[in-house]
Amino acid sequence: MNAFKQQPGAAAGEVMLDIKGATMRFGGLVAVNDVSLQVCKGQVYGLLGPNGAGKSTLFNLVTGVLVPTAGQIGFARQDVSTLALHRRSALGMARTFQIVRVFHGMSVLDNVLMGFHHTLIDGLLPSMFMAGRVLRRERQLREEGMALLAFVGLAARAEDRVEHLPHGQLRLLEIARALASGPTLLLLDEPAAGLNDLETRNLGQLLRKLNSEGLSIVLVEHNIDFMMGLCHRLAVLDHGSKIAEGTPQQIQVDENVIEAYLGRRASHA
Amino acid sequence: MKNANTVRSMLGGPALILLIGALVPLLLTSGFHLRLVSIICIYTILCTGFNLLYGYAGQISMGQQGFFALGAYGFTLLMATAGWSFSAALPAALVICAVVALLIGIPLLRLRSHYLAMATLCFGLVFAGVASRWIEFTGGTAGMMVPSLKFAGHIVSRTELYYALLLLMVLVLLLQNFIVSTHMGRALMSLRGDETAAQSLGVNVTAWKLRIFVLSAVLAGLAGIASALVSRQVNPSFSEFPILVSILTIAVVGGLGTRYGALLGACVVVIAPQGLTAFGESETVIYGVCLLLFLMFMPHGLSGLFPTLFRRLRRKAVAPAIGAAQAGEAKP
Repeated sequence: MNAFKQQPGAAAGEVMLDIKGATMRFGGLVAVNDVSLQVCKGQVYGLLGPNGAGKSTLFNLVTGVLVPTAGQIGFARQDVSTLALHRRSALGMARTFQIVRVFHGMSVLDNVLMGFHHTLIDGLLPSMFMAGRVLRRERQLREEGMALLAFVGLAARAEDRVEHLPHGQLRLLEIARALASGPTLLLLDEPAAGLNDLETRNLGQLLRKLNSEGLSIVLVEHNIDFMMGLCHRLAVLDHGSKIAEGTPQQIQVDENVIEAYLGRRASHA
Repeated sequence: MKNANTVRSMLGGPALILLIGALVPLLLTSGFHLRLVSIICIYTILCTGFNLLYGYAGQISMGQQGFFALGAYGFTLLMATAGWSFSAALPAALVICAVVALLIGIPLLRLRSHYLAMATLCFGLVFAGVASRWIEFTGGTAGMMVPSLKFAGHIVSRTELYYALLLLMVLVLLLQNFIVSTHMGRALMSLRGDETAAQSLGVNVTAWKLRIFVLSAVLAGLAGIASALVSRQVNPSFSEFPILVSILTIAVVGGLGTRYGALLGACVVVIAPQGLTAFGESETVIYGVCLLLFLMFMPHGLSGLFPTLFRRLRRKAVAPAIGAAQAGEAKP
């Protein structure tokens, strides 16, 4: 509820993510059709829609896994539509994945430390020439990584192998790893998928806390209750097009949305 | 606290190896044994590169023997044919290896798993073919003699050469430890896992694959040069299957993705056949059966064996204590 009060102020912030007419075609299929939306600084922005509505495709356009057929993705005051995937984290974009993607064979802490990669010396030869600096930085990284693990509540598992973590903790690990890159915008692809009620509630609290510290968040999620309580603003997609946008209250009474999504779900139940 | 451990574990192993390696010649009686320990150093350098490439970064190359031979031939041609000095020919041969690896790496590293293995294997085969057929340049199947090294009029003896190789091997192990215990090691391990996730975290996947491929080629070239100096000749067998088989055997026996697997594997692969000569004709069969048993019962090689043993011993030591504690708790 706290989230709603912040909303007017948050909406007035500067635009962080500016999607203009984004379109993605796979052969004859139009997965995302001319979608425009803006995410402002300090907002929690939700993408809703039935299965196959194009949420994940839009998410992949923003994160750079896919390059849009038409339209522009603006981030950090520049067009990032065709920017290489590995250059985005340095701009302040960090993401988690719909199906958890952690690095196997590595410890939990090492997985978090991967998040710092873009801030470190790139390349073998430069690292060798600056070996002293690399080793000193490594020591700091471990402390910073432990602090992040403590923040998401995984400090006790730092030295465990990731294979030994249950699903809910892997989700938290992915968030800690994303935070390690020092993002200004956190993109979460179905963060509550596969979590139980308690874990979902804890996740909501964690995200609210991050947002209150000034982090902007974009999420794709199926869990409507979770989204309504968390987001300042929502966009609803159906068949690749944006059919509604507004505050949670506006979305809940929007006729298009009720017909396309809530209504269909209600008739199911 | 963890970092102090990191630095200690980086330096400790190589320091111990240097110490043991320095004492080894004092215990050996024949020049043949000295040659064996020199070959262990050479294989360790060669396989450390392969281990970084395949064990850590998950990119298989079956062409390491090609770079091994390229280094040896490049060095010998520059020194014997072009008349360069040792201190010029050595780095030049390594640069040749690096450039060739870069050129073939750019197209090849787009491939994965067995496609990458086949493509790199072709490089090794092509090299062996060229080395044996371009007779006027490479000396054909007979190869070329490598002049013995001289510094300021002093001819380098086999023992001195061994000490140089030992030092080189320790330096290579230090380099490996530095790489795998910092962000570079994490970047390499992220390649064998999930490339999309790695890229999203800012890892330039293409660049890192290329970097480690070039490094492993340079280490293979370095081993090749060392091998040319120890055997005082180069010939096309440097880039043929037996070398590749040795690399793979060392990897399996020693343990992939471990720090000292290359050294442990090299010791076994070089020394074991000597012990098996007593069996005469059945030597190869026994060697093969032993390898098979290794694969079946020690999937992580010798490096996997020691931690397992250690853990088992510790569990045995701890288990009675825990049992006693639980019995004590249960009473009230």
